[in-house]
Amino acid sequence: MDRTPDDPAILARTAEGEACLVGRIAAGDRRAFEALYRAYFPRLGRFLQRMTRSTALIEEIVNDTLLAVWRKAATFDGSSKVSTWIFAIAYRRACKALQAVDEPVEAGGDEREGLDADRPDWQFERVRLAQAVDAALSALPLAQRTAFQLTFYHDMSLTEIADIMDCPVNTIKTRLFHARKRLVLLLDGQLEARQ
Amino acid sequence: MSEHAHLEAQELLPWLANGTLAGTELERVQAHLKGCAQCRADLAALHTLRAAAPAAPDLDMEGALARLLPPAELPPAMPRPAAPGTAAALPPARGWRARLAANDARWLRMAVGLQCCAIAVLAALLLRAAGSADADAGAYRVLGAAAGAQSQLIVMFKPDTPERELRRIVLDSGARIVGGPTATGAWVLGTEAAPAALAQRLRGQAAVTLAEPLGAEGRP
Repeated sequence: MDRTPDDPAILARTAEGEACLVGRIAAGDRRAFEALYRAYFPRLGRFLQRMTRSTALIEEIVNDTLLAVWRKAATFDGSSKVSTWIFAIAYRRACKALQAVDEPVEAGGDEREGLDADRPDWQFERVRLAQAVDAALSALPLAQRTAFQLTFYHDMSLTEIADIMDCPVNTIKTRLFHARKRLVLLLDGQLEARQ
Repeated sequence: MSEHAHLEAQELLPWLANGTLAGTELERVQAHLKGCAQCRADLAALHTLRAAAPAAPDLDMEGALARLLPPAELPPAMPRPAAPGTAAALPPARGWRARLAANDARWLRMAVGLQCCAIAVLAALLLRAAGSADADAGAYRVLGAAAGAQSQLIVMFKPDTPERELRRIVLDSGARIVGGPTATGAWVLGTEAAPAALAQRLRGQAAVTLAEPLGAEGRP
């Protein structure tokens, strides 16, 4: 397989490359679309995982989002990053889909407990904390949870998150402030214990 | 330590933790952290939180992509600006179908072979069907086979009509049942008599709720 700088798979690794891919997609380049699809599928999957437990629904929303990217590529004007644009589409679609489904998000920690019996201690600690965080996050309101994971698991800046969630920067600050306070309560000392 | 600076730092800590804070905000928060043990502790807790990202969901990317593709079936991108310069520079965008159909001789040979087999089988079926129709002219006639002098009618009976009565009406009319009952409970009758007159006669029967001659193509 060719690995020139023009290769879509290479372009998908940088923000500038992604913008270039969107330009090609607007011109109907399917290879460019596939590269962008493969780059964003896991990211969007992780993002949506915090909104619904149904993998089928996650895949559906991701496909829905990336199909919108294919259709609307020509309207992307470069005023924001490609990632901001795509996550904003995904967030809107997810809110819409979840409203339609009205599915409660559950902690889901219990069903995984049995798998942990044979792990070494340090790994067990890490997995246990991840599960605790997972469960605590599920207890947050959707808007707080979304702001939280865009910050901590997708490394987005304040303005990017405000763009994605279509609200003022200060609202995002407040949401995250409350999210943190809730999490500290819910995790009850587990974060400090590890320092 | 000013209260305002502390509040600002508390609000911005998450973005200090993820490395996206920049400019004067970054400088102010960093300056505040030097003198604030609580903010330093909170930042450490945020790093722990960030490292404890839950496992990624178990998704099937290739399966999902296959549902969206084959690319040939993607609806066209919205407005496709005609950009001759960029279009010429693009690599040939080919879907798997195009690749399969274009240059692969093995694939073509196989396709032609399969086609020949299919044609032979269909021809054999056709000959057999024609032969048996000649041998037994009174045999079951397919609804769509509009050949022959026979006309067809569509007839519906009241739902509670006993089979005995249904049989009597059909025998009396001189027609034969050639199809039905359909999903809607209709029967198709075949007759050599004038279909309009027969339909009229059938409508006279108490048990018949509908009797219509079918057109030449088998449609009412």
